[in-house]
Amino acid sequence: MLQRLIAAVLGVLGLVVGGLGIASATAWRADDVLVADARIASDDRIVVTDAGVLDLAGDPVTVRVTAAGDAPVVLAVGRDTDVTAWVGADPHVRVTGLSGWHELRTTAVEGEPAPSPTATPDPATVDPAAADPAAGGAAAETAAPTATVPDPRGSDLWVVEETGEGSATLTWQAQPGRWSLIAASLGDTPPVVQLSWPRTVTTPWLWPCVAVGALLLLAGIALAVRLWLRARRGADDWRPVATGPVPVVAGAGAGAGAVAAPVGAEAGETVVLTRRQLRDAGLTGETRSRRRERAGRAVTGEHATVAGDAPGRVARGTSPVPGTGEQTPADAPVPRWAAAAAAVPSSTTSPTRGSRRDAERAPWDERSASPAQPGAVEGSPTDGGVLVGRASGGAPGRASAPAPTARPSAPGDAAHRPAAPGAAGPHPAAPGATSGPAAAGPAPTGGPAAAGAPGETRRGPAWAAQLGRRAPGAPSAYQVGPSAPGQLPAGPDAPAARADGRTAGVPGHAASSTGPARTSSSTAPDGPAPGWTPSAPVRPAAGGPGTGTLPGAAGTRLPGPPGRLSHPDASPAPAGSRASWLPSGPAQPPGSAPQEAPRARAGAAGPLPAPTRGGPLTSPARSGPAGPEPRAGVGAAAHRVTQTPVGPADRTRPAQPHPGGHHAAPSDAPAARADAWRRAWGFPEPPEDEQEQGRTHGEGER
Amino acid sequence: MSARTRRAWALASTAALALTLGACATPPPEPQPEAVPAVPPPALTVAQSTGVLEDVGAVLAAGDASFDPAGLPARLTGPALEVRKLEYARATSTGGTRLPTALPTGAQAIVVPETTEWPRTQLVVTEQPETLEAPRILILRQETPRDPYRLWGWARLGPGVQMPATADPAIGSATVPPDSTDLLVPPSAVLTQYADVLANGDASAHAALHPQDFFRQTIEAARGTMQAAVAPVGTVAETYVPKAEPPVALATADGGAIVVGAIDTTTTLAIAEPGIDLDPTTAALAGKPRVTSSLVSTWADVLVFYVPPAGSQTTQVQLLAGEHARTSVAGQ
Repeated sequence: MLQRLIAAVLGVLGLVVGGLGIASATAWRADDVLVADARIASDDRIVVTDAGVLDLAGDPVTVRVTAAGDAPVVLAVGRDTDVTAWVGADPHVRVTGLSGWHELRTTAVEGEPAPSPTATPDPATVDPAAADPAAGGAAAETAAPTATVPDPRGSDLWVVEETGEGSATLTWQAQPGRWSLIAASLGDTPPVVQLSWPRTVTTPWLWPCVAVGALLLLAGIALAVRLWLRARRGADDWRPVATGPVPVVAGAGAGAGAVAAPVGAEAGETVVLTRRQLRDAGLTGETRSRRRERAGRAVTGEHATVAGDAPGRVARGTSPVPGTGEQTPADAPVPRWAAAAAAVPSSTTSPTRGSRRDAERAPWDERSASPAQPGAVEGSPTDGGVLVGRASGGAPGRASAPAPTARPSAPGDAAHRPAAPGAAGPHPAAPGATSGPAAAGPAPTGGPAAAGAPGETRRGPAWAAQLGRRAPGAPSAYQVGPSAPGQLPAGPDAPAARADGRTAGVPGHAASSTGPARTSSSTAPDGPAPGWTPSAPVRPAAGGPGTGTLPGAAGTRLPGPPGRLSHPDASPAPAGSRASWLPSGPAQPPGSAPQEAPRARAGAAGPLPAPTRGGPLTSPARSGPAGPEPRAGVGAAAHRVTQTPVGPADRTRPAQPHPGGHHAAPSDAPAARADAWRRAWGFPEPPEDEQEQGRTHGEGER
Repeated sequence: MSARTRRAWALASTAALALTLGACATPPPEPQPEAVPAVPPPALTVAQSTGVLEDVGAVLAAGDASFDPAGLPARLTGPALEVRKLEYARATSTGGTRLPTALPTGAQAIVVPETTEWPRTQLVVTEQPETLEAPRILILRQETPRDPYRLWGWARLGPGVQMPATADPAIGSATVPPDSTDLLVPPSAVLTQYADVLANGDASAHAALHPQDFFRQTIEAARGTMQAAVAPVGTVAETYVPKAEPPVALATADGGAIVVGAIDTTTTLAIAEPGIDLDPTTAALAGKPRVTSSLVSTWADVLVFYVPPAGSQTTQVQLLAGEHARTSVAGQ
């Protein structure tokens, strides 16, 4: 505040001083001609100037004397001594200088010897300042008659002399020496003397004042600007901020008043922090999260079950129908799997369309199409569907059910299945399936893969192979499982097929087997497959269920085909369900799986199928765990699945692919991929506990 | 109390402001005369002197034109006025045959005194008059400040006289006090001594200082002639009395001085019976053609001496100019 005041005062002072300086050179500037008068109030008739007055303010001085009444006036200049001597003792007025710019300073000199009593000047006349005009006039009148006014005219003492009547003008050039002017009025009135000098007017104060004023003003402005800048910067002033263990980068800036805001900002901004920053900051929290991640990964890897979740979710997402499936699962001891199964079928509804299209395309497609139909069938036969759903659900349940639970679940499924006619088959099948898988179990990859479809694997893009390899024994078992169920159901379906009569009821399987056979044949590689297939046909022929069990193993592969077969059969609901499975894949794919479609079509139709089928399972596995993106991931997976199913399933009896690829994928691959997307999106990986909880929760919800 | 204080403050601040503002105003100039010179300036400038001479000349011219001395006092005084009156009278009585002394007013040289005092005397060496007479030295005197310069007297330069160098009239010549001892002879004593020399001739004690000169010769010659003329009937007696007023001494360049003075000379003729006839001029002046008892003539002798400075090689006072003019004649 004080500084502001000072600045203001400085500025004002500067302006004032500068203004004064300028005024001294303008408003107050002296005139070019200085005129000064000496007005004599007394009766003195003689005016004498001191030496130096004439050249007081300029070189040629013009003296003008006037007297009222045309009285003779005299102007003369002589040596000061001469003038003084000449005036002698006579009273006179002496001009000693300038009292103002336009006024002469005068002094009255009293005459010593009074020539006459009346001449004796009274105080009034003596003092010009106090002189009363009337008194002066009276005195003059009285004095005039008696006192003779000395006449300076004609004196040899004068260097210059001018006379006149009433007025006279004299110009005096300065000369060395001391000169005085004597002006006299010889009349009755006192003379009025006017001196005029040409002036070289100087303005000595102008620049000093202006300079000083400018300096003051500048100083004031500078001070003000400095203050202003300071005030402006004020907020930006650096202040030391003690950061705590938690990086509070952004918040620090805000002043004390803005504490609240910064906090919020901090909260928001902490999220923005890069990992590096976090690392640098030595965030303990970060380290913890890392640990979690590691832990999570390990966990996910271990659990094959992950797949289970995925299906369930997928089912939710895609199909409304699933509800029924879900409910059932809820009741079921192993709800998840059931749910998953249910979900799959549900998908079938939508797939139908796609499947039809496919059917038009190619003969295989017909099969695939047929499966779709079954799906449709499912839709209509609610009851049957339900049953089927259960059955299928059961199947998947078993299939998906990890090694441990799988068997137990089987019983559960069996319990359900009983309701369905084909259930009987399934039961036995289940064991078979289990057994199958068990057998396969020993050589997880090899088993399933080989079982699935050698040819496929070959064809099968690296994908399937990889999946197969990766897939642990357990997964394979699952694959088998699922497939087994598929087969088993097929078994049941078979009857329906038979009923249809299109292909022999047995042939349904056979057909399925044959389907594969064809495909396999086309692919050639399926040496084993044929072997299997035959068995499949045989078994079918032998007895739906019983053989089914055995063939189950083969069936696992076959399941796909069976589905297709079933499609053609269309009749059996169960088949539909399975069919729906496969088809479901295809159905969805057309619409939703554009990305993968290319791949699938292009290269790995065959192989893909396997994976795709597996995909559904696996993909779910992947997606399942991932809460957030599961959809996308799932969708993708679903697409793949669907696509693969369509093309591949038809061509190769993808059945095999399902098992091997799916399971394999679900186990390891899914985990890895799951991590991948998480990493990509920077999501923390939920701890193992959470995952599991999530599953349980999900089940509970369902 | 507070009110008073405020008023006081207000007044003080106003005064301060006024002073501050006043400081910015240019003050009116003050007269700055030259210092009073240590040496007084010349009494008259050359121009003034010229003017005075012109005036004097005008007055003389006016008087000479009508032989009317009425106008003379304006510019003539002292011996000059008396002589001029007598000359006018003589001229008038003689019908103009004896004209008054020609007094040219053109100045060859001017010796201007440095003084602030009065009376002031200044010398003017005139040009040679038309009569081819010797140049005159005019002595102008101003008795008081309000008086004009008047012609106090004149003197003819002696033949072969070299005027001592004097200061430039623009500078002025110092006035030497009458009793100055810096001169060979104090100015006041010069006339006294010279009068004694005139009276006593070479027998005078001061004859050594005052050598024979043209003026003394003239005086002695005139006295001898007179004495011879009246010898049968009477005797001639002359007295030389310096004027009472002290002579004026103006310094010369060599440290000497020009001393100007006047001596009243009275010539008394003691005549026994039957008397003598006067010449027309004298008769006109005396107012009677014949005097039987006495005839007294007074003369105004205006003398201009050069007195060398004391201690100089020159040991004699030199008479520069002198005029022996009758001022009155009275006979019985």
